[in-house]
Amino acid sequence: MRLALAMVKADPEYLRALSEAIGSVHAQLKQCRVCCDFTSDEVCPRCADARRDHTTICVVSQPQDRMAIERTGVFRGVYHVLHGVLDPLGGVGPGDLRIDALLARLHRDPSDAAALPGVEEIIVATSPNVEGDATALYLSKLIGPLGVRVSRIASGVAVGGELEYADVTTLHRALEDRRRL
Amino acid sequence: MNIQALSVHDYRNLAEAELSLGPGFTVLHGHNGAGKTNVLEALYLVSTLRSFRTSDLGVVVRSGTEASRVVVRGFDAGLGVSSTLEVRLERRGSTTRRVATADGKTVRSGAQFYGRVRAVLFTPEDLGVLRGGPTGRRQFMDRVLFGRERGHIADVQTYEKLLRSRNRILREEGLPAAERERLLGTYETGLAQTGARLWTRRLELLHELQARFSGAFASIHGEAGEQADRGGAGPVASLRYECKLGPVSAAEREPTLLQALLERRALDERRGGTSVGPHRDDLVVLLDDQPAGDFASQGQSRALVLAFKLAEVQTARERSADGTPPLLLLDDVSSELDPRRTALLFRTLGEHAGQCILTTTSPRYIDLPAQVETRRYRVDQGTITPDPAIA
Ligand SMILES: Nc1ncnc2c1ncn2[C@@H]1O[C@H](COP(=O)(O)OP(=O)(O)O)[C@@H](O)[C@H]1O
Ligand SMILES: [Mg+2]
Ligand SMILES: [Zn+2]
Repeated sequence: MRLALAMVKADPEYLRALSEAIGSVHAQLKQCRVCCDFTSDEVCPRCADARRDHTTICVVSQPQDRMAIERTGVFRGVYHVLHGVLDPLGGVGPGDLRIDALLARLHRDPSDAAALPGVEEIIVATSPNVEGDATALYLSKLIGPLGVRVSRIASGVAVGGELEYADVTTLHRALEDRRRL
Repeated sequence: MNIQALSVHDYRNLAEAELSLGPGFTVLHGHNGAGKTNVLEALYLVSTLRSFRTSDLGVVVRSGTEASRVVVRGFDAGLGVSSTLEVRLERRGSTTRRVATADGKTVRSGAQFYGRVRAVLFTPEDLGVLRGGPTGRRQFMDRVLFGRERGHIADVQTYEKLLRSRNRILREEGLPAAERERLLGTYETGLAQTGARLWTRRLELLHELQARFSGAFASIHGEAGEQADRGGAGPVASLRYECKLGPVSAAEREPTLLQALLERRALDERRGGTSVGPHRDDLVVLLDDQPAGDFASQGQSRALVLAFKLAEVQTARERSADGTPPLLLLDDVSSELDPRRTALLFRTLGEHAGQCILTTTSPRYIDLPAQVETRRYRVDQGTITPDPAIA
């Protein structure tokens, strides 16, 4: 919003240059083959990092939320970006989210010795509102039966609030106080 | 909060209006269409962030303008400080943004705002609620709860969204069975959680009002002189919450509702809507154990609603943490009630000992107890002027 206001005031020449730059960044952005986060490589730095805990996946609705959680510095696992939340009234169903890619990460080929260790826990970190709660619950119904633990971050975040705006300490606590779904 | 001043900008037909309130009564009089109800609506907005006349807040912004502002200044006895609350409505195309500030700071969650001004509203439309459909009676109960329970508005909104989501999935064609099952299960879980909370709050409300309601009805009845017709003892009035699922203990409400939703999937799919839950419950008012809605006379059903409101006022004061009585907003009451009931109403108001704003087309109707300070204003085509002349 603040950016949009600043742009209204900026001069047209500058704006043209800016929009071209944004366009080219966008063209370079791909989605990570594993977690669907935006990245400039095939696989994002987090998925490629063997020092991270690949048995725990934190599921977020958008890349900004991944960044917010990464800033807390407490989470050492990997991420999965859904690119949306369930919203039947807005016409968004499970098929519109990157859920298949998430399921694919849970199926490990036991004969592949080089494969990463299997996923043990999914932490759903969607915003605490109707859509975010429904997404979390849906995932627990889908993934729970596969023998993977599904939990939800605690709503230390203001109820009805947006995750992106939550401050670092609140998010930190919310992650640690997650509850099983 | 004890309100000292109200200022309204571009709200309905009120371009700029200022009103100072005393500790007792404030009477607004003026012709039909002058803007009296609009003043009450603006105060109610500061209390609940909602209108009692429309769910589309865009329509309250004065025609030809883009934003409304309502500011309330007063003394918050709970916090021990003077406080200014402001609600702004900004129309942008088809959407309207609500911005609430308390002492200049934007309030991000409604829960921090609700309850600062607690209001009890009584409008002539309420008088028809018993004889109308169940939707009106559910709203009637929920409106009382909006002023009492901080979480109720959010829960009602969440519940409505979950309900529409479930109905959408029920109607959706071509979903694989397992997927449909999971989606329905998802929304039913949420519906059962929030639905059980709504159910519980309404039950508790009726339970709390019960005794005072019966008492208030008995005195209205006695006052109206109808007792003699029935050989002394008047009919006994009571309240009942009607729910398809019957009486269920508090702990069992959520699982019971969840189970009912699960069992009704096929039925609901045929009907294209959800057939069980608080959105289908009803408030039943009984006279001698018979549902009054079916047989009560017009006068009786009005007396019953009035008794309900009087009970609400009494309990609201008892519930308030600092003992502050609620702000009473009484719209056009006298035009709809007979003189004896009006007299009883005013006597009860005299005992209220709190702030009360009344509107009327003619100050003649208003016979307030002389010992309580009364301020009078004239409302005319959206302008408000002090009117000390009428005694
Ligand atoms: N958005 C609006 N802009 C301007 N005037 C409005 C708006 N909404 C309602 N009004 C006007 O408000 C008046 C009704 O005011 P109201 O408070 O209901 O009157 P009363 O004094 O009878 O209670 C009508 O004249 C109506 O045209
Ligand atoms: Mg009116
Ligand atoms: Zn990745």
